[in-house]
Amino acid sequence: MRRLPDGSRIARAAPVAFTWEGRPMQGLAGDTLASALLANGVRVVGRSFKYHRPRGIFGAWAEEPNAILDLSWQDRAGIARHDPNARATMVELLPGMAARGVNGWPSVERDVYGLIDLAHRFLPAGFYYKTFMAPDWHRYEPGIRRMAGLGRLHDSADPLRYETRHAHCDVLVVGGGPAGIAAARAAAASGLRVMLVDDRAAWGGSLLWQGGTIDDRPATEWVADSIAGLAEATLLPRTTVFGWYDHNALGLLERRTAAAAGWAEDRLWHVRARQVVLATGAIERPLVFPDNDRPGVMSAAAVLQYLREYAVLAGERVLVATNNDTAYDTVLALCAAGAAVTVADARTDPGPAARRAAEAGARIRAGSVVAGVGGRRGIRWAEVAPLASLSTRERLPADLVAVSGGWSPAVHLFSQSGGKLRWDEAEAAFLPATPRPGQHLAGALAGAASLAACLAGGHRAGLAAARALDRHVDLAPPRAPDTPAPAPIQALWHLPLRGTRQWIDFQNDVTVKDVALAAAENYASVEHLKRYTTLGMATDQGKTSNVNGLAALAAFTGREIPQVGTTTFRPPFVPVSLGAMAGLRHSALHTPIRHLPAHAEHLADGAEMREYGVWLRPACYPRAGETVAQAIQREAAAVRTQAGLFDGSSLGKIEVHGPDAAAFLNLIYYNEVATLKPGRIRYCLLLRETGTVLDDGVVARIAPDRYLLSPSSSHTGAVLAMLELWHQTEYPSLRVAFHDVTAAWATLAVSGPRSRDILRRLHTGIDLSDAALAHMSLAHGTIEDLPGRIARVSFTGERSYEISVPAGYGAALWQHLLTLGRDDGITPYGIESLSVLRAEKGYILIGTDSDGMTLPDDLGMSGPLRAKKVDFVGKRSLLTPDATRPDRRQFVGLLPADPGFVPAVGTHAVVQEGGARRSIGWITTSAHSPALGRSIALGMIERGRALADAGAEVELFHLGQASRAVVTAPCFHDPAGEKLHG
Amino acid sequence: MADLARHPVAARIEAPGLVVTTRAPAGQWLVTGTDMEPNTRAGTDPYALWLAPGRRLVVADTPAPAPDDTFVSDVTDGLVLIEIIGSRSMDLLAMGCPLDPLSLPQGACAQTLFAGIRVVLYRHGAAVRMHVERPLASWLLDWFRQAATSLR
Amino acid sequence: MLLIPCPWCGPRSEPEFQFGGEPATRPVPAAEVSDAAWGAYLYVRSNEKGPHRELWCHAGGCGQWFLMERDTVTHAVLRTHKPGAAA
Repeated sequence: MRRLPDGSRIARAAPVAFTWEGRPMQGLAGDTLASALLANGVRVVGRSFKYHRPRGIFGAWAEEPNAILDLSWQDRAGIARHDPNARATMVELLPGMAARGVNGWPSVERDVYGLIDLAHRFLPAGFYYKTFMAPDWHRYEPGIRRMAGLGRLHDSADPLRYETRHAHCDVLVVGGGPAGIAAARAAAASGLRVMLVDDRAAWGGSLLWQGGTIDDRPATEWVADSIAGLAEATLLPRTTVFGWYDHNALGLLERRTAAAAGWAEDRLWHVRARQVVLATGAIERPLVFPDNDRPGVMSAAAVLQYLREYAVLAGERVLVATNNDTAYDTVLALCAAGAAVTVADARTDPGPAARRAAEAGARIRAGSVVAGVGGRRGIRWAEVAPLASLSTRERLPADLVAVSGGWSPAVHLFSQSGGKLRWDEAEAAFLPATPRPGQHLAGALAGAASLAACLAGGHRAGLAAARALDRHVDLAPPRAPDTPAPAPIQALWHLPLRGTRQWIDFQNDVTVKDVALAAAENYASVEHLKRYTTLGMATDQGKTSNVNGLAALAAFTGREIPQVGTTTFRPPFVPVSLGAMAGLRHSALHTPIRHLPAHAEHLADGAEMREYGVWLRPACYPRAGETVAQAIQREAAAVRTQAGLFDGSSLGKIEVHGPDAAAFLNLIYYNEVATLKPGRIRYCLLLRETGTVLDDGVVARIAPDRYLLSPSSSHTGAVLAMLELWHQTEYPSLRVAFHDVTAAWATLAVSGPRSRDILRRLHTGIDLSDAALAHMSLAHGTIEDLPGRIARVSFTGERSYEISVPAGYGAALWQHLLTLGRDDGITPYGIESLSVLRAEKGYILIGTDSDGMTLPDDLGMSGPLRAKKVDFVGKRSLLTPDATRPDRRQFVGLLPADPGFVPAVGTHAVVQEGGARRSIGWITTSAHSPALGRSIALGMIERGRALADAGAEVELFHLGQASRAVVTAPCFHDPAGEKLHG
Repeated sequence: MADLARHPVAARIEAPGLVVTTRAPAGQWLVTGTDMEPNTRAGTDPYALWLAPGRRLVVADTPAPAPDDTFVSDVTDGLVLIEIIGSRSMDLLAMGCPLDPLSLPQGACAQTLFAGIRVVLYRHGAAVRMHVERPLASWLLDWFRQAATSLR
Repeated sequence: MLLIPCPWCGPRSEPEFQFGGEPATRPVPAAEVSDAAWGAYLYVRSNEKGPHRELWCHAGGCGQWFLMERDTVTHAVLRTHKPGAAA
């Protein structure tokens, strides 16, 4: 293996220094990491996944199964980058890159775990279903997991930023080879918006190493001119189209690491195209023979690519094994580079290509195959045998075996879009059957075998895409010289050699024996074969193994290949990092979070902020030296004895208006709302049609045709959606409309015995006397010269006033109320403190004390069902046998026998039945109550109300610990509600 | 009487070819009543943006009385108006929104998801304007700050 | 990533929408509906393989509910229309 002195496509001007396993090496600007390693004579680049066998570079691009390396480098922005699973064939070599092997210790060259291969008989596919069982599989699992796997993540956070882009185009052309460029030319000539995408840095696809003549000039010239002519189009090199996602939405990954523009980030494109041209090419298949995974067995097309693009000669004494004509391009190029070449062509009559090769100096063995190779850390010899007599071996010295088993069109995107494949016996390949709507196929993907056919097919596809969008193009197609038809391929799957190990999937270490085992154990479906053997499940997703694998399965199950079929193709085509998927949406920007109008004030007041649903809210306001638990107790006590200030701006506010507003809301809400008088507020439940409680909240009547709904903070969106759904689909004739004004108002609550004294200092025209503003009523007016409302509702059980002003003034009002109430000891309190206060009163939190099965009667609210006549949402569900079962779980209070013990939420109440414990419910809320000076709890317990009436005790059980509690009514403080009204 | 100060959500983010600022309209109203052509903008100052059949958002850059219609809610403080100007505006929008820019000519408006949150989006002269609910504005502005660093 | 034509806003990407399931006619009045009929309304749907009628809401857009006929095998959107429009 060496770099030739001349003849590459890449510039030789700039040497690039890098390291491999700590050893300094030199490559050239434009090298891939793989070509640079080959040029430096590196034969072993990794160890196989299961057996730890030495592996070398096999291919030249995305299909590479072996050269998965750990890569560290610094990008153009100076950021340290790390990729634990870099595919060396796709990495553009950058100065200072440090590459290391994975899966080998202390190195991939000399790996201690290579001894595992000696035990391969005990490690077939699925061995973990049968071995390492006694006494307990989990004893072995950690050790096995440590030894398996490829690469290790660094502990540091990813410093990289990834970008997302959305784009629309008329025609997306996938593939920048001859067919794709011809299609893009044709489509762009119509004036349509065209995007042309290729995963390489340079345009031309296989033309980059095949060369050729197009329109009587060198293909490279045609490529350069065509690309220059596509100035109006969006050109995306270094970009893989990794998935098709319905209606011509496609995902693209643009790698910008080495891009000249100075970018560091990779960019994920979401493209919606009106028409798609797929010109994705084909992937060469390996041949399957004993020890075909040894370093030095390479794809014939890859050998040609390394030679022509990078002037890297991968071997001096080469055996080229093939069953088709395409490998002869490699043979001729190797001969011209001075290598000694022998060809084992499985066909008894290889045709004119073989004759030309013989003239160039290659020795031809017709009707022959490679039957074995030797040399564990790099091939030293290969054995050729006639296909008809595999025991007659001819051993040749060889440092490279270039194999070509045929070509598999890259049908991944086509299949993801729902396209069906057909097996072409003559081509020995799965070809696309018919394009899907809005889709056109061209090039090797569609079965084109020559440059002329690729150009013609690409041109036709571009015209068809334009025609589908009512554009007609007058453009001459590009032409290449006609070539004689190749000699037919001879299908050659694995060799009938018993007792040998022949590899199908290199990356997951799956051999022919594994396929035979799967077939013998009746995993006859190709989908079962995949999962039982893990064939095709590695990071290369079976690009070089799928067809060989299903051909073997066909042989072992006595079926034809089309009967076996392929597994389902799924995105992504190449690995896509989660960072690229996330784009900007990570860390602080992971999820949109809502801020309260007085957010800055809360921070300034020392609030412990937490996410509650979609809102960032104060949990409490710990003072210096105070724990969160202490702050909660202090704040709750302050509200009961003096006054507290709470930011309730996140509570929903939905204005409902219309002549039929009352009638409509009465059809929706569980409670009666039509008879609610203007200025009055009622606590109401919203049910689902299943009768279960969706939300609770308060409903305020403003005027005969106007209501203000106040759903809970986390359910406002769902409630609004429900109102709109019922109005638009079930009751469209009712005249009513809804405005969500939640964000427009700041609502601050002053709660406690001193609340009225504090509010009297507020400059407002609203009458705050109890006569004018009783509990559960509201009034509009001006507050400090601002339009606003004051409502008397309470979630703490103390006298409370909710003051609403336009949101822009929320911060100022917060400060103002703190000032007004300072002499009365007003204390800011947060959600956690409020939660303790409402627990003392037994006020339920929907979703905490209730779940998706809870009915209103379970919560003790059965009145409306009897009283209300209209068919409100969920009514019928309340009349079912299940809804009227006597043993339903009911909302109750619990007082633990030990007043200092606060049972965990989720603790079960249990009874002993037949020698075992049965759960009869659980605790939904628990806290230390400052008002009672002891622990309290709320829960849902079977027949709870009867137990509470009897003052019964229940056994609690949690994480192996038992305790006891008395069941009570769910209210521990001021059950008569005197503090609310008084 | 206390003179309570108003605290708008305000920001200015700059990058080459890009300026993102908040603006404080004199008035914004949710109005249900007369219908409009769907997904269009009508008027100059105030102007109306179609939101739903029979519903529109009325925006006044300069002080104006509230619209006179069946059902009017003052949401002046409830929506933050963000304005985007510059040669890279379309690139910035493409980072957050799958809407095809060609489908948003002058005079059109669209309600859509931008960076995952609901916005009203339309062209306003040389600028693109976006209304977002006030509680989400600071998160969205942080998103713009991050996105702008990508545009070099 | 369906492209869904909202009857008001035109074609938009799937994340702007909320799926509402197959529509069912609500049996009323409650007093005359059997448990079986109510259970069927709540839980039983035809779940066709092929063209399928379903409710969608343009929740990230105009907030309107509409009906769609979608092929559940190919995901082709056959038509969308406003509720109450001629079927």
